[in-house]
Amino acid sequence: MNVEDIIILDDYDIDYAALPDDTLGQLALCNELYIATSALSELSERNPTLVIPIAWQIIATEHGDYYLQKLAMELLFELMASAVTKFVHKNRSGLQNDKLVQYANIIQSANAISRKEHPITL
Amino acid sequence: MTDDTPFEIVEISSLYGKTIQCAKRGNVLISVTKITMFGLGRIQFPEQAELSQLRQERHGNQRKFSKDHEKLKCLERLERLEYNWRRSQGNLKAVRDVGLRDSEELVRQLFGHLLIVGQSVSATSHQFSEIDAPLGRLHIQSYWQVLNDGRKYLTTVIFMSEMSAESKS
Repeated sequence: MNVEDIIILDDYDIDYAALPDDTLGQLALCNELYIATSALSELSERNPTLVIPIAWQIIATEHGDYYLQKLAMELLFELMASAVTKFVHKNRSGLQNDKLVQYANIIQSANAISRKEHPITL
Repeated sequence: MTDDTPFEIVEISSLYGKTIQCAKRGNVLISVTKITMFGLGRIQFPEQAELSQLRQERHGNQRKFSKDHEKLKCLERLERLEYNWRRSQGNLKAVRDVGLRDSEELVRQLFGHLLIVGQSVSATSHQFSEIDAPLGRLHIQSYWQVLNDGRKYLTTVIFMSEMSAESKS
């Protein structure tokens, strides 16, 4: 599917659910920022692991505007926070005073505010 | 930087059967809706009421809300969808902040300006420019795609005033 044929359209004319993952990935990095935002959002629901390199590229290259970069940052943080939390839970006995524990505590503090996750007990 | 040289309105067809109306001068194309809908805050966000309802529920009882994973997921999804609407509303706010009115005359002025900006585009990129306005200057970030046939197509415009740049949240 040719990305160029899609980005000349308007965001509300596109059925993102019908697009394959690789097309969504290309659109998330395109120069049409409404389409990029929608494509990244759709991909995050469908296949979060594919989002990591794309979101990182958006942030590292400062691609797009405030809203696209904010979305990329949120998605990266959510995915990383979830991975750190799982790892610390699984390995808590061997991780006393480890950096990862500090990270987990920061995440725990953030979660205590939003009440989105279960607290970590070490 | 504006240009009163007339431009033509043409229709280009997309592979998906939709006809796209564009302002055209030389090999520069500007989709009308990218300016009138997205540039001037006219896109809709039909999920607004649902999002407000979910935010209200969360505000009312955060602990209970946080245990409902379905609602949490829905809230997150809608908040992401809202970004496009907020971007478009930000454009409209910037236009108003500098004292411009959402009018046909403004649309014509923006076409004239951006058709000049597009002439200097040589690769897929974004450009910074500005136009004079009654209460200052409207800063414009325009994103361009060079199509396979060499035409330059405006994909997104972001309007900024000093005030709107400070008020993002």
